Amino acid sequence: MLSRYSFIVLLTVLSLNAKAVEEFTIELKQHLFYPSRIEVPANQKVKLIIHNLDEQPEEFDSFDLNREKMIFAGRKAIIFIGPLKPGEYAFFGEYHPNTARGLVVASELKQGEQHVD
Amino acid sequence: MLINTVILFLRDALPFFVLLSLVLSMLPVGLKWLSLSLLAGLAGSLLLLDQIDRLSQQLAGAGMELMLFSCHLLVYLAIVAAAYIYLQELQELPHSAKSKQKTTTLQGIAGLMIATSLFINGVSFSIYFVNFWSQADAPQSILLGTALGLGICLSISVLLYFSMLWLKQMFGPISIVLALVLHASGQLADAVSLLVQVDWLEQSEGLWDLSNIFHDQSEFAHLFNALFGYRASPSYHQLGLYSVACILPLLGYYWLRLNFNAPTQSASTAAARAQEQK
Repeated sequence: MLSRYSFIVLLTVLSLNAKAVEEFTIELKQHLFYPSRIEVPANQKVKLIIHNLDEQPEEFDSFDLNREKMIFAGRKAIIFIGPLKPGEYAFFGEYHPNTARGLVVASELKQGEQHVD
Repeated sequence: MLINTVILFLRDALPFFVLLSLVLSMLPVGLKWLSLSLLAGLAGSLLLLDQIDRLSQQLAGAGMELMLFSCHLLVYLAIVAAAYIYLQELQELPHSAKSKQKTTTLQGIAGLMIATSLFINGVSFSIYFVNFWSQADAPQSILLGTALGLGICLSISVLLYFSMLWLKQMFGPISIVLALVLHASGQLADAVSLLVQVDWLEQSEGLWDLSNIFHDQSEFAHLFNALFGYRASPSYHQLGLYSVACILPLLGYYWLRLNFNAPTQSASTAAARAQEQK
């Protein structure tokens, strides 16, 4: 009996976890992030997909978001952020902090809408 | 490139130097175990360079984070074990067979945590040096940045080492144990964000925000982070893990001391230790 309940609980947890997460893509080209400003919905988890198109690795870094992820040359990395309160969250490339800079703006947006500079 | 290298040292190498100072204030400096563990850590991070790209793509991109979190957990467990053996070792007469045996065990565990810490922090450096060395003008900037970064880290670790020796004299060996447990818990709690960013753990809200006092990007925040895991805005998960990781081993040491023949330092042992310190 216990195992059946455990199974149901596990399924519920998995299905809740499997809730669709909105995706946002950023590209890194010549040590610059494109787009450098990305608007994400506030108060919900989102998935950032970062493609490193350079021939060198870069470390995606953000003190505001508390994230740090190595992205190798020609690879993509996935980082989950949020739920974020409305506001601006800076990020940068640790190896090129002067050029590779960007901003995640969390605001009340409609689903799927993506603001790009 | 020069500033980047210095910042990289402050962020990634400082926790290693803090751990090294704390360990050396606890143990007699042994050239053999220390050099072996440094070599093992360096070799490990260089070997990982070959596989790191593949590793980072494993488990839907979570491979690197899981490996790093496991290493942080291993360092934490090793520090907790080392602190316990250290407290036990202090109960033995200096130079006795039991004391020597415990010192050897302690050196083994200390070697493991130094090697693992160097391995964790060395990966980022290895990638940086290997990939940017070939850039024009890079070697000069990288070497200068390394000298500056290393100088800052060494200065802090020497200062910390002598501060710990002073604290040990003033308040006893428990001060080193406390510093070690705080450092280990801080690094482990900090590593929680690795699990959150790959969606293995849900993000929890920040409990408070001290960014206006010490922003995470400031030099003091880097230092405090390396010492005791400071975060301007820690989450529930981080604070929860930090508290448990700090309190449990301290309660454990106290409980073991009360319930299992954890010896209390006899008058003769205390006298012998005092004599040795002189």
